[in-house]
Amino acid sequence: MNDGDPIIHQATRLKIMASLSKLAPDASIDFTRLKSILETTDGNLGTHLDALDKAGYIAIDKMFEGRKPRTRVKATSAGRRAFAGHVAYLREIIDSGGSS
Amino acid sequence: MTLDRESAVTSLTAIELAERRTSQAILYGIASSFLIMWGGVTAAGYLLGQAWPRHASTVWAVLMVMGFAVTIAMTRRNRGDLTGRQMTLGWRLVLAQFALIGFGVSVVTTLGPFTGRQLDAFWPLVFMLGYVLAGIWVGRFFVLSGVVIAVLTIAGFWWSGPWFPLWMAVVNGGGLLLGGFWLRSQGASL
Repeated sequence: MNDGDPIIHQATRLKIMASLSKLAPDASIDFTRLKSILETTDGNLGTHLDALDKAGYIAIDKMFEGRKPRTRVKATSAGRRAFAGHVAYLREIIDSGGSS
Repeated sequence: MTLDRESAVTSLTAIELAERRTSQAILYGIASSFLIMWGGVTAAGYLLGQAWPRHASTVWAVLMVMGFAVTIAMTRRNRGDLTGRQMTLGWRLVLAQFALIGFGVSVVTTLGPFTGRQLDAFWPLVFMLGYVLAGIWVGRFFVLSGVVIAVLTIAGFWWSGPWFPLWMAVVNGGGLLLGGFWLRSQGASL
């Protein structure tokens, strides 16, 4: 059986990866919009984005638009693969009707 | 790591919800640009029609061609930002607009001739039907917008007197612009 990914499995990180995986491979999303989609706080989102960034699952791009700081986030190909693997793991557990 | 079935179901449910909300934010972000563009085109068409009624048909023909050229260009420009599935939905919505135009032209050419005022009411009603139908699949915002603008169009047709084009510039053009800016505030810019 496929092994789950302990980094992705945490509830907020799981939702972050689910959201980023819906974007096209080169597309990124604004931090503020991601926060609103996931209904979380700046601090919580920032902490979990850092953890995913350290794992190489996402790329964070910080920039300035005029004087306004903007942060954009996207999933890396390693992150997309890890997320797809974790979803497959969850489905296997459900299909087998037991635990893993 | 060890997980039971219940935890796996909970996780998959959270994933589906996040995916659905993201898809909707992407759709709203993209649709907002189209609504704002068509709101501007529509408001300009009605305002110019109110000012120069004799040239209204020419003005509308030019504006519609420009509007559709921009629609196609904007859809193509979004290609890099959208997944294949999202692009397919985008092109289907563009094709649906062409189908509505085909239907409208068929009605006008077989049941006409119509007065300018009747045509000013007919075309928005056709497009608002499209919004309602699309909204059944992509979100109730479009159903609500379509119904509200259609009802106000009918009200203006009967009760706005000689100011009908101005009424339509505000109701149809303004309605689309307002809806577009609201969608932009809710959607994701990619």
